[in-house]
Amino acid sequence: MDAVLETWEVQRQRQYRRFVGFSAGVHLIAALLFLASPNWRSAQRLPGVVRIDLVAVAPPAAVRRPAPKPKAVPKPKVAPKPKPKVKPVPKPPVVDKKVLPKDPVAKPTPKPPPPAPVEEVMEYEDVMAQLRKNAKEDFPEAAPQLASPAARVGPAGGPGRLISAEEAAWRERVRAFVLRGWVLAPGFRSQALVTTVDVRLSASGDVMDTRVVQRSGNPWYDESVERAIQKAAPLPAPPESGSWQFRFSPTDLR
Amino acid sequence: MMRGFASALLIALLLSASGSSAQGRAPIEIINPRDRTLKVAVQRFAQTSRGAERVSQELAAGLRSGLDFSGMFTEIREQAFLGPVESPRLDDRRPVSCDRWRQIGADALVQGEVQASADAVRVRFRVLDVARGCKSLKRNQFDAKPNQAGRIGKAVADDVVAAFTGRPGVSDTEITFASTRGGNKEIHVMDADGHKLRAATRNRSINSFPDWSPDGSSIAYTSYRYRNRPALFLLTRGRRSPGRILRNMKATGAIYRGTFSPDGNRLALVMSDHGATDIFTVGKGGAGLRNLTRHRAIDISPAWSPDGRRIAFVSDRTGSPQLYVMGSDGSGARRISYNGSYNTAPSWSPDGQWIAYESRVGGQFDIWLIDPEGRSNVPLISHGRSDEHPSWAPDSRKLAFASTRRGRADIYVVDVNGDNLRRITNGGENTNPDWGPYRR
Repeated sequence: MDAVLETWEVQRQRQYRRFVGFSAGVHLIAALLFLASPNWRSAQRLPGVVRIDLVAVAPPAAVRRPAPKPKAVPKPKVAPKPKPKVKPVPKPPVVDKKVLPKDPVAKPTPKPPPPAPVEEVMEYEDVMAQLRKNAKEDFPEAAPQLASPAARVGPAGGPGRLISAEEAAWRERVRAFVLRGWVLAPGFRSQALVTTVDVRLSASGDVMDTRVVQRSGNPWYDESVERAIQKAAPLPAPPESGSWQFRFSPTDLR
Repeated sequence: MMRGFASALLIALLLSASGSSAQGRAPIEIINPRDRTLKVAVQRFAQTSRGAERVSQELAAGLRSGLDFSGMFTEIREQAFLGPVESPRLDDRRPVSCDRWRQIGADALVQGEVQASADAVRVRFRVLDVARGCKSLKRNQFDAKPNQAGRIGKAVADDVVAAFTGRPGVSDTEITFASTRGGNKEIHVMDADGHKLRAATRNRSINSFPDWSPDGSSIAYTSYRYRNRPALFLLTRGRRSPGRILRNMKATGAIYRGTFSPDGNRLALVMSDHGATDIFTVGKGGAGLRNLTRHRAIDISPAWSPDGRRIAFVSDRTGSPQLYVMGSDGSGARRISYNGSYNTAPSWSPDGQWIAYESRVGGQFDIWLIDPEGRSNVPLISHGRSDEHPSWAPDSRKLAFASTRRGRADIYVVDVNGDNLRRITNGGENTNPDWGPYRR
């Protein structure tokens, strides 16, 4: 029984070795094939990634053409800054050098700006220059520095839609606010009454002042209009503080 | 140096550009407000004499019902007040803490004081515009007998309406109408909210078409009480027996439907004689009779314009009854209604904007509005049953009319925008309402 068991055991071991050998061979072939073919695919996929890497790494190495251009911008900035101010000079370069090699991919771009704004607050012209050069990246930098004018400039000089979208939404909200507080006597509805009011709004939406610029001819109607504005106050914060015009009319000519 | 100058210039340019854009913006259009009411807080009037409790209560009740009747105000309950429930005296110079009233959503705040003696009541009050810093919009004072406290309350309410709209409310006005509630068709008078109903005639004949004189002192009406033929009579406040008017007129036929001119000196009326029915005007004493229509067709239902220069009327000269407008001397008659085959019972609004009339639609009448030039024509009241005989309230914001929507005819009032409909009569057939003038 033992011998039988032994031979069976030996046979099993042999079979196992064969199997392992075969399996290893197959795996090896498969691995080779796999390594051979994925190389192609990865080569196709990688370029995007590689480009980004190079962009980041470029400044020190200056290997690829597209990369140096964006990089070149932050550096000149850093250079002019130090000139007027003595202390900041050593620090920014050190920071840049340390950071850039470590995080080659996306971080270098956001990081250089923070040091710049902190020390550059006074240099409006530099900010403007940067805005013009980095058309896409100017918003995050400009906004914290010179809150309202810069924010206005960006959209006004560039897309322009940005303000109208924001303003349109605000106008819609304000319309609902004011309409909710406007009570019109039954008799006034059937009349062609139009009142235009200039409303001076603070940045937070407080009604600073109202001035009727076009009277309807019916003083009580005009009063109802002023009342509606006062009741709606404070309005949602406007995209821009200052004078906004409201025109009131009952359209239902029953 | 140059750089600093350039940057300063840049900032200046930038700011000026943004400033000018603020001026050139399109206005924000606020149109078509939803129908809402002003919220009013009425403080209990301070009593400046003893024994004014009952008077104060009646006053408050009248004020409340008057504000409610206006349809323009919703009263804020005392329980919601953050400020004092009782009004300060009006000579109290301390400023009103407006925020407390603003916080509870009040648009209007009414404060006042009552002084009552055995035979007289004096009420002083003021109306404040809460949204505009509790600016005082109106102050007034009423003196009356103690039993008129409720009426004073309504008068105060009407003044509150005036403070916010320029025209007083009409809760302290009266409506006259014909009613069969006593068995015969008699002339009745009631307050505009339907209270204080009383019969003005008891002659057991047929009485109809009552019409207020512009000063509210008398009512002209048509009655069959004399020789069983329609003739005009005048009912005057304080006089017991109404008198037949225009006795010396040489009319041999029937006289209907006298309506006072806005100055109260003339009457427009309808006379039928030898088959012709025409519109005439005549002096109150019967002198100066003038035929305005002289047409073979039937011309009826005269309605004066508020300036007294024109008269709207109904004529079937084109085959079907339609509305016309002519000078009050009969010149330049012009048809204004072209919708529908039967338009009648015109009533000219006191502000001159509209002529309300009844128009037959599908076998029953609806109430429509048309402007005096006939350009815009809009339905006001429509119902499966008839709505007839519109009459304007003196503020031109409400109308009274008769409707058979509940089977029997009743008088209803409604706002000119179709809202706030309410029935103000009950019992008998109630028809031909005529809304009286302001009483003060």
